[in-house]
Amino acid sequence: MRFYPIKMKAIIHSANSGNNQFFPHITEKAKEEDSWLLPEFPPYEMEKKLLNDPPPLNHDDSLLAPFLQTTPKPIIRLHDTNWYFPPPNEQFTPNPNMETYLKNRRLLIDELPFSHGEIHQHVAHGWAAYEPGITPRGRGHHCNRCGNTDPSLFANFQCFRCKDDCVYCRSCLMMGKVTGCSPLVTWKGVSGKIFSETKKHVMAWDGTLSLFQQKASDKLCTCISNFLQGKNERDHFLIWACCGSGKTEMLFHGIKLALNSGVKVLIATPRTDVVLELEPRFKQAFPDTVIHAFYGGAKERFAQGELVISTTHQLLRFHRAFDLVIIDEVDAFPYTADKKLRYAVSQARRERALTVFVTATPDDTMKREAEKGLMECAKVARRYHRHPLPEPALHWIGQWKKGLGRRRLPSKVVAFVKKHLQGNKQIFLFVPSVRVMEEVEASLKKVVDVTVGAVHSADEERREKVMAFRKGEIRVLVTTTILERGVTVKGVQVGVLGAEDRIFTESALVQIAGRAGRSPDEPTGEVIYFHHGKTNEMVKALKHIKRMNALGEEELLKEKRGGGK
Amino acid sequence: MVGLSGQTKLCPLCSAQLKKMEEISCEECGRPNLGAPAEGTCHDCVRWKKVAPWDTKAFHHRALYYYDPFIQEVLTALKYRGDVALGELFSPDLKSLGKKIGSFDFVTYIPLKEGRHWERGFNQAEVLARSFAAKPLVERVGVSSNKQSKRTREERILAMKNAFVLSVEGRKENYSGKRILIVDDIYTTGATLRSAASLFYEAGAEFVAAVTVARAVGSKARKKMK
Repeated sequence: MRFYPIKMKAIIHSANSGNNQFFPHITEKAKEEDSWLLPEFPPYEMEKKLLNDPPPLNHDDSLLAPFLQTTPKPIIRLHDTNWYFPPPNEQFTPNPNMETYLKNRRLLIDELPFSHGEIHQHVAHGWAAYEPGITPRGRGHHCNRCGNTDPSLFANFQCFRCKDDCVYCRSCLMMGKVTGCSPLVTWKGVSGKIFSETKKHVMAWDGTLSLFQQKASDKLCTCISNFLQGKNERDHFLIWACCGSGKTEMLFHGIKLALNSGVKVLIATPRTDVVLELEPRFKQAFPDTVIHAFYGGAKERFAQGELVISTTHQLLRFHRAFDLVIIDEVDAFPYTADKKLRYAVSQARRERALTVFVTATPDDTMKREAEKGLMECAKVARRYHRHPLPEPALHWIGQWKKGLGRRRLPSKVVAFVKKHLQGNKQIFLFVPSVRVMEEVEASLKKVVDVTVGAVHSADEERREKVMAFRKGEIRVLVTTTILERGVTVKGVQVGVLGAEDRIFTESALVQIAGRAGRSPDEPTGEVIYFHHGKTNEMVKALKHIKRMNALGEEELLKEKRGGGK
Repeated sequence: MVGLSGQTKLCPLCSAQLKKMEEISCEECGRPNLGAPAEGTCHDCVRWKKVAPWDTKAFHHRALYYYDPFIQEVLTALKYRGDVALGELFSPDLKSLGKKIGSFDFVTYIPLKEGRHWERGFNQAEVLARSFAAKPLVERVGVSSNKQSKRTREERILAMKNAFVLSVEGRKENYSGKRILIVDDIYTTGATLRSAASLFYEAGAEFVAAVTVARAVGSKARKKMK
């Protein structure tokens, strides 16, 4: 959309600007060379006479006349303007509905169900502000909502709003279109807290933590209380917890502490599945707290919560909102998605905030930072049931792809499947791609007579199939890496076919191995990486698991000795 | 295909999902042939021929693809989500399709109402017509604010009656004896395109044709396709 710039000099010296709701209510602190920007309102607002009250605005006529000799040339890029923002006007009563939408958020003007006239009125009274959606960076662009700078994810078009060649971000298009001329709107008003800071939050969860969980939980609580008192040295904390150690429970005490200090807490994760799983657990644990979950397709997209659980994408709507940010499964997606999440978090957290990462497989940078002490770290080496993690075995299967083309599975894989089916176990078989998945499914059906299922990310029956596997109706589930985390099935045995593929990184392989032996009733299980050539990632994954187990052993010994004293 | 004419920006997997309109059963509206014997002129077009100007004037329409869930998704991303870059996937092909019909003196596209145009920020038909030297010859009038895609055939025809006028630019041209091509995204009943086409016939045009990305097929035909 277009904005008409008016030099503050003209407004400061004009007597009648104070009476107009579209001009800054106060000009005392303005510099004469700054500009005030008057937006061009959309034609339908003019048509529907939405602007009758406040008075109608037509840029060609009387409104601008006092300030200028001729109609000004509209400007269409917000970023190259020195724009005057007035402080909030205490006399003005903002629309409380707009406050609910905008507080702690930064939204596209199109996402707001208010007329542009009303929004601009709030800007003129200092309660809201515009920010550019896209700014130039080097030769390219930077999307201020999602942080995208990839030139291939920007496109140009002839824009009807700014009547010019305009750019838009294709990276966050799913959340509404950010264009070169569209402003993002933020809230500037200060008074009127939505939630009381002295509210007492009750924790209904009364389960016990394992020795390992307790230690991590205590360390987190110390870190949070230091942060709350402003004594923390680092503003990052890593909980390195092995698969199946009960991460969520470890967070409860720390979150309670933070909530009772009146700070806003965010739990962010790249995966919708995780949000859906966490929401009921937190609602149960904190029955009196206002908790909202945000994910694609959630009903309430603009509610305000004391504790927010959100996916990466939905996080992009928040701005300077949270004091405590907990990131679950930060490494669940490849690097680019990870970068996006980090940008989203950097925008959603307050300037002074504490970030807690929770993961079973931190990346190399994070590991290094933790070891150097740049980031505080708590390791949880054992599962809740105290048994060690099943260590994977590596089996060479030669040119498995060739055989698969003729619908023949490697004999080692067939033997593995048959052995466990005889033992009445269920089997998870991970493969590198959808195509391999289909071929393996067809080949398996020829050699075994139980129900074989196959599931991938775009599968419409994904939920149903996973459910059927959980119930034991499907005995063998062939899957791509999408099920590498989160799915817990009792007594499952795990195979990876083609573990040499690039998609199977250390973290993916550790997560996959972490599917086995999760239940306290069946704490062991077989994990085999079937490969055609050992990769570094496989070796690293194996080392990772062995080291975790050794660390757990050590700590158990310490406990025994400590108990003996 | 030779050289660059065969290039596409789609990956093979996505290309394979587009159902190309290969056989048609109606010479006028380009209704696809889905097993039924070729009729020459379909039932729908026969109905149209009972009202002016279609009793004396010809109408011609061709589409690139069958309207199915896949193309629906692509067009939704273009139209409602505003991913204008997707227009590049179809615009060059629409130009080739237009050339197959014949040569034209004017190319134009179906306009949007100003309010809707502002809301979207662009006109998808204009984006699709980018490969042509298209001009905004037509303008939308009338008060209806509902989307055409939410209406039945009868409602569409009624709503489209006198929905267009020639734009300021359009009134400057002389159409007598000229051939005109209109571009749009989807063909459903033909009400929109025929309404715009009749304007040019009134102004003395010799022949008006239309090209679209996708043509809807009836529910019976859809079942056959499966």
